[in-house]
Amino acid sequence: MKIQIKDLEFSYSDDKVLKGINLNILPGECLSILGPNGTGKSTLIKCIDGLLKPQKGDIKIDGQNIKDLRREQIAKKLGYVPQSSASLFPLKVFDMVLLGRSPHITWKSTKTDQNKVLKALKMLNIENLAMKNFNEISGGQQQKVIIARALAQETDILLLDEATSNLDIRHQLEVMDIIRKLVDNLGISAVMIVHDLNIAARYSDKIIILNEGKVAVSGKPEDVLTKDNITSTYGVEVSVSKIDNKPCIIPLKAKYA
Amino acid sequence: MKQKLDCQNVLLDYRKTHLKKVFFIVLLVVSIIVFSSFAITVGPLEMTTKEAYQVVLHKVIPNLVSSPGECIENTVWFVRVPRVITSLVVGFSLAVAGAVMQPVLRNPMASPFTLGISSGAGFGAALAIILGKSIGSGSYHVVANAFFFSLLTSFAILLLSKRKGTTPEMMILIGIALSHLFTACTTVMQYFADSWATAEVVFWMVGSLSKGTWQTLKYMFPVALICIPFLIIKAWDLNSISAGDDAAKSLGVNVEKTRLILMIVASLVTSITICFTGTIGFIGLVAPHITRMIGGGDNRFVVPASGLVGALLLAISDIVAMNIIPPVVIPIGVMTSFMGVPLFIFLIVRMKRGSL
Repeated sequence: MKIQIKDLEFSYSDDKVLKGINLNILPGECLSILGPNGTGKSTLIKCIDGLLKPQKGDIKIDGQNIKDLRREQIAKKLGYVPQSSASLFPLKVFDMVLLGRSPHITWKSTKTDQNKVLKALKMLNIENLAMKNFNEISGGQQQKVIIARALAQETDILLLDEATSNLDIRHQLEVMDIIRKLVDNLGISAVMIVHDLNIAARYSDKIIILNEGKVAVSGKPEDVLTKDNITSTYGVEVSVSKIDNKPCIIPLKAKYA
Repeated sequence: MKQKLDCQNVLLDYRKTHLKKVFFIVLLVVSIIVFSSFAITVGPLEMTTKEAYQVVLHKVIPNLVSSPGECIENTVWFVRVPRVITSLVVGFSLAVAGAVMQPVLRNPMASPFTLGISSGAGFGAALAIILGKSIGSGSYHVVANAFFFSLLTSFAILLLSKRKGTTPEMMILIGIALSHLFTACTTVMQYFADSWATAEVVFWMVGSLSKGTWQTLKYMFPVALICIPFLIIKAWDLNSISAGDDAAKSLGVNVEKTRLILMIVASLVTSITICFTGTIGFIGLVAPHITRMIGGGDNRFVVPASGLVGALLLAISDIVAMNIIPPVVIPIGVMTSFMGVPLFIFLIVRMKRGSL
């Protein structure tokens, strides 16, 4: 599925966050959104999922404007992993992942649904958590459960808002491997907000850096993650080398004007 | 091979917990049948257990057994049986309303009573009793007023909070504010009213099942019969909403609309019951929590099961209330608190962390 974003503008009351975003996301593409804090990365993801209604501009999924789709229609196309999740009442991990089947079921989950949940749990290697209370597992484990929920949703596009930020290095790589595999094997697209430049460099097909509500640079990792681009957007001095033909960024110091 | 076995175990575990829940529900249904059957055999009028059941049989299948006499027949069939059924319907309705409102408002303290729906009903009743002003007439003038003002309260909450995007926080704050307003209005009226009228308002407010007759069940039962299955069907959406508004939306739930509809239906169920019985407060708050502590937070289970817990709790409370110091009948609202609070506190204290 293809996403086209055109002239997207969004403001929270008077505060204009997105100032004209243009972006195309192709099927089978892994896109990372980078950028300093407060530049509207999460806002952009929420706009794509229709959680926020942009004041100007259009978002089209396979040519269909997201404004014209009902929530359950969007839910069949886009899976969303929020920054943090909590359940008010005790819910088993299995049931939490089963929620991912919501767009496909109304009340009774079938054996097929249960098997799909199991498959998703297995993919993330967390089937041993299935019967645990979601609120009683660690933050990293919770993040994996929510990713499993998005996988169980079986959408063609995954939106991940800092999905790996609570994970240790091993689990970060594990999750990124899984996402990469899904993109390569199933041809789904992944749009993810990433803070770790090196993770973004290794796993993305395309990277955009947002700065002050606009796309500052976009392109292949090696074209985007250059010394100059990083300095001008993040305000830090870095050294960029290459490992496995991918850029490798070593932060040096913050740059003060 | 081993991994495959593990997966089988996960599914087996999952289905096992499911069976446990089914067992709990069956246990509740059996207890309700046992206690209700017991309830119709006890009361101020002396009669044997056999005579009580004879009446029921006689009424259900007219020519099977003979009636044990008109006095017993009237007592059992026109007082005890409708009273027991009323206690079950009211307990079930209030508990389900609470079970729905808690996740919808994402607040464990939400219930029809924290939201001021009962204060609205109380105000309506006081208006009818003290000032004689009512939208209804005849024997229903108090009931009609209580119903109207409790619904008015819920709609006021919904309309006022809509301006701010119908967030749970807004609904609760407005509900609590309205609750205080109505309580104040009721108090002012009581302050200036005759003592008999003040007493009557107090009697109305503490709640009573004595007004439960076949006649009142004719109103209560159909509303419950339509609304409650609807709320149970929507229980899956409640799970999504508990996970947060954004999560629920991304899972395909139209959160604002669902929240609004569920609140309206839950309020309707509440209003139609408390307008006949007065404010039986505690059930709506406590029954869902007891259910969650026993069987977990999956709302597909919690909504129907707390209905059963509520029905059972109210039925038992009523038996105790009527028979503990006969012939005095302790107000049912007071009794449910006496019975429910110790159980509730016991469960809270014993409960594991993070499972509220």
